[in-house]
Amino acid sequence: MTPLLAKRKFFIFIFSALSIINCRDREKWNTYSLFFFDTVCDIQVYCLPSQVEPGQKEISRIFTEIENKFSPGREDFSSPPVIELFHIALRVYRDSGGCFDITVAPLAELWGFSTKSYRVPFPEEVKLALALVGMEKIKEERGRLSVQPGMELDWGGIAKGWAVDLAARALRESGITRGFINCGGDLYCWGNNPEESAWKIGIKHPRQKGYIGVVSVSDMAVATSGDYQRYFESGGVRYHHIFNPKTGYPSQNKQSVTIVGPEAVYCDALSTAIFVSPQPGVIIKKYPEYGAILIESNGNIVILGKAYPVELF
Amino acid sequence: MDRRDFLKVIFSSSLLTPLIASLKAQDSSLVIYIISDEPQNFLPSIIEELKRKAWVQEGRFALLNQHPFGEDLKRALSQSGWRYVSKPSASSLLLSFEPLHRAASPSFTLIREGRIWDIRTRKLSRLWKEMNSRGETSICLTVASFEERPFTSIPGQSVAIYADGRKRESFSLRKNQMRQFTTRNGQVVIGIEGGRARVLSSTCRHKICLSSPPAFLAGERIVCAPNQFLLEIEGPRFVDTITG
Repeated sequence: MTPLLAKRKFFIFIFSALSIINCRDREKWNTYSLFFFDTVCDIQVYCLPSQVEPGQKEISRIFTEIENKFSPGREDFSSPPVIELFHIALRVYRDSGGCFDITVAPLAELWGFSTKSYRVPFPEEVKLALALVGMEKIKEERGRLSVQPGMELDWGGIAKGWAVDLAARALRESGITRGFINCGGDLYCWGNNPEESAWKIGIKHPRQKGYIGVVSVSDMAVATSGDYQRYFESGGVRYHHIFNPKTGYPSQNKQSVTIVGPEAVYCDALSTAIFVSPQPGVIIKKYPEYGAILIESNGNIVILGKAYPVELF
Repeated sequence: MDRRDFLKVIFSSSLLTPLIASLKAQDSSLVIYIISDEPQNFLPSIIEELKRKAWVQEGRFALLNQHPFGEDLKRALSQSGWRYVSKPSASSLLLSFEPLHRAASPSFTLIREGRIWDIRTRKLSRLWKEMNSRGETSICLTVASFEERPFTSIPGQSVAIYADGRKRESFSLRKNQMRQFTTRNGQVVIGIEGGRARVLSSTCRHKICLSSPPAFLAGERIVCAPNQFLLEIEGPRFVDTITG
């Protein structure tokens, strides 16, 4: 082999090797699903192939920790995450006049939502269960929560949103600049979508297939509470899982509430609070960075709070 | 021709004013403006790209006025699955012709809800370059205005199966069949019939997946969380993700 040919071959080899390395290390869109919180968590991120597995592991670690601490029946009343989330829940409880309440577990149990053995309870039973409801009954002393006998905490209306925030923060801190995490409708999206524009979030139609509208946002969280997510029918009446903590009955005047704002944990809790409240405007005013899309029981759509780009059909 | 020049050429045509006003009156949310003596060679490709992204769906088209390349356009669009109708009111795509006051380089622009719509796809970019590279100028402006169907769901073409967080396979919704999948936690049997997919049996406890209605629209899902099983209808999507 002549020196010139050898030199040429050497450069071809170097060029090929660099191309392979370059291809392997190029950022691209990666999509995967994880099963947590009794639902599917969809993750779509724009990152290097080498970032996919660590990201997936970190999300699984965060979600497992949240599940371990906040799943029904867990009695952790003192660990720092529990106390931190309790304070967030307490703020929304107070701001919503008690419409969001993490102590509704006895009601969910009475109506059969925790065992999926649904039934309409007698009014006396509801009254008895209500005696165990109310966040003001929770005492916080020396970094520990204490509840009255028979009371139980139900973190279902807030923990998923918090988990989404923590996971999205972890991915962003690891250098991932674009993506979304969506756990059963509680989501956070950041950066641009694959078409280089804001993320298009379809809002599920509460009564039929398809969407009622689309919100276009980036670096924002979205969450929805709806009467169609978990329900049973008895005597032609739909009884769903979002209870009015004051009456003990499922809240009846809305079909769904979608909240858009900077943190999924607040979107999650506010969607329940506003679903239940007869005065949603009063609540949303206390959260100036948040906007709400309400679908009332007659199908009317009402938009409250901060205006985000939303296209309704 | 860059976009600013393109718009200058279009809006300098006084003839266009009534046309634009009438388009507005019809509430046309998506309009394609093409300057070219061969619109029949470009319009179907642009529409095909919009269709691929599910922004438009093929249907019926009509001509609003005499078009010098009307017959060619009819032929080209018919070959792409569009049906010509004479009544503009019965169509979802209206084509019209306007002569420009001065000849301009061939090009196209999309206007959506009164604003320039910048779609950066490889195919459209290639098409734009191809039109511009031809050199010759044209006074023929073709305006294609759509009755847009944004963000509605359309039937999907195939069903994807995810088990234990990974995609197992994808198969057509056209063939009626029954399939069984084993996951880490159990078994799920699904059935495809008449383009719809549903779960027929599952080893999970509460059988919520069994009571899920059949899925057939692009993006629809049936989830069996205990079995870590997910069935998703594949097809053009209008949204990135869903809340609710």
